[in-house]
Amino acid sequence: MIEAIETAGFSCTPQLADGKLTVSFSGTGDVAAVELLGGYLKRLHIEAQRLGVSEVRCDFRKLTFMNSSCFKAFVVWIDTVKTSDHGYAIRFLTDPDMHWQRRSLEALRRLATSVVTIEGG
Amino acid sequence: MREAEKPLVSLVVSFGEAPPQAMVTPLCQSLLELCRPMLDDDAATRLRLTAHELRENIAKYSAQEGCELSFELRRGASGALCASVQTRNVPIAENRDDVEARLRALTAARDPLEHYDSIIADSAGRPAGSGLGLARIHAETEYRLQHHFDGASLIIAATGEIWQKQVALP
Repeated sequence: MIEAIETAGFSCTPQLADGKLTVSFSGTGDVAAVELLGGYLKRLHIEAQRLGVSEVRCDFRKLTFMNSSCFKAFVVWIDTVKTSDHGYAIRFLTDPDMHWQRRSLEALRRLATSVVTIEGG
Repeated sequence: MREAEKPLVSLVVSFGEAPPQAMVTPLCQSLLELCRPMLDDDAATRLRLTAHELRENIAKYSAQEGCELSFELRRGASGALCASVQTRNVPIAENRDDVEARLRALTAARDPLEHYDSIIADSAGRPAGSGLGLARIHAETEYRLQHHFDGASLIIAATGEIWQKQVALP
């Protein structure tokens, strides 16, 4: 199972339950998190394919901000899933009080409408 | 200066060299805390994103000394509050033409969302420097971007009308 990671002010915590892989993101996704996040999403993709899950949930409800470099890491991941032979759905769980989430994630959804769904907001 | 022309808040932060990237988040959080009593949550979110992306750009792409970050909040002629976030830096020489072309394309785009979507799609296969941060400001915050060169220095200004809380302002 993919591990949890944590750096100053940012963490990713995975959980596998009932055949669903959920990763909870928290803190601030800024320059300190970029490299860690990019590598993590690559490993997450490999793990999701290994487990054969139909959906990966990204829980953003405790993620207060994400800069464009972290945003780009999600662009690369979603693009990889979209073009993969063994793809899966990606569902973002959002907090409607964090207004940036709806706007940023809507842009990610437009990148791959058949892959990405947004819940909350 | 007439009362109506005075900024309600004005901040200028100058650096002898490119600011460390680790300083961007604390700087933007400080700005947000300063303005939070006056802004509703959505306005605060838009301001944070704008300030963060612009400041991170100069932290990443400055060639030499002479970086400056400034912020102003003032009441516009319509009575609405107007926020302006501006950066001044000397870009890395090899990036100058590219950044100018990207800014021109961004500000000329008739549909910011459509332009943003194309930048996002292109960025998946590119290394850093795709212009995603600037396009994100333009599409997600509705702040309008303007830029010009002053000698070797690039000045980028993002301005937008913002919503305010119902509090007494000076």
